[in-house]
Amino acid sequence: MNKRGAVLFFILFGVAAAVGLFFMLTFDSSSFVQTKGTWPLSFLRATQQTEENLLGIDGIAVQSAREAAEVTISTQLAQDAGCGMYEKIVLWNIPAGFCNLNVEEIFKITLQTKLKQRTNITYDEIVLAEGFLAGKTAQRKTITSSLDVIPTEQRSTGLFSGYDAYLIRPFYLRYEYNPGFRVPLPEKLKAYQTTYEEAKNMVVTCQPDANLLGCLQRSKPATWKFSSCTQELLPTTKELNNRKVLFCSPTERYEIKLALDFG
Amino acid sequence: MKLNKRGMMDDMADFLFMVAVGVFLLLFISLSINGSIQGKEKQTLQELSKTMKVQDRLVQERGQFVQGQQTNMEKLHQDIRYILKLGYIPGSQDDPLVGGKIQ
Repeated sequence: MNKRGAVLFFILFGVAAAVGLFFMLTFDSSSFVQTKGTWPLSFLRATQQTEENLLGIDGIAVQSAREAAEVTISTQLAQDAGCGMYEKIVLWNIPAGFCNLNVEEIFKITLQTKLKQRTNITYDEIVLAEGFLAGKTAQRKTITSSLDVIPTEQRSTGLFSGYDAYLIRPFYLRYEYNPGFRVPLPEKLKAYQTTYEEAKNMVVTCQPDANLLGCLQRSKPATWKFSSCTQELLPTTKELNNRKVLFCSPTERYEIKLALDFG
Repeated sequence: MKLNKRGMMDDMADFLFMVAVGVFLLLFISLSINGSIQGKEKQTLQELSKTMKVQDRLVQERGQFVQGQQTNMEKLHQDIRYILKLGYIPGSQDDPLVGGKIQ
């Protein structure tokens, strides 16, 4: 090898070594290896986002149902439902039967309106059954690809700056769910339903009984009181003669005043 | 063409040099790919751990809701954002400053 050949050889060697060094320092093999499980994780996160949203809807349903029950029961139990009033208290029945107090119907309508305002979802059907309140809708809500759903990592763009980047090439994700709910009945509505059932049973038992006072004392639910919610009183002679008796059904937090006709 | 002794030695040196370069190149590729696979596995496990923590938080909130407690949606949302971003809720047992371990 002459001198010129040797210089050329070392130049080529230097260039090859520099390229190799640059490659070693900058080579990022992670771009050839994808993070595993990103798709299933994204799906899981979409379901978790759904759970979070449904929890929010349930919370709104509970709050709205409580408010709707307060408004409905105070309004409906203060106005004549067709059976008349007795001593300024609504009569729940006449000898022919119980009047429709419309509590559940009005409650459902009030609740539907409140839910529409707060969730923008139209609940086509509200069901009250077995101590629970369920809302059914044909509407669907959708979760789509977002930074919260598809896992990301923080990548640096400088000493103090960075950005969230998807772990893998972004993909389109769409997850649909039904925003129906099933929550416990509000206490006040439950108290009304219990009182209504107990009142019906008592009327069936005592209506044919000539000794009204004796029958009432035997069959009155333990929590109920005559006339007053605070004092233990007996029905007045006038009430017994008219066979129309005032009651108070106190629960832990609510009191329901009613008049029943045993004629 | 005749090969003299010096020429044969040159060829042998070139051959040994190429073999050494090849070995080092393969070693480098193998180490860097293995390292990145382990890195990605660690990343997957971290993401899985975050997802499980989010699930635990949701289950805890649902449990409280069933017991009649009111749900604080803003707090829940913020906690989930913290878990997805940091891997823990600041101030919780998982917080490295409180006493948890950095995962």
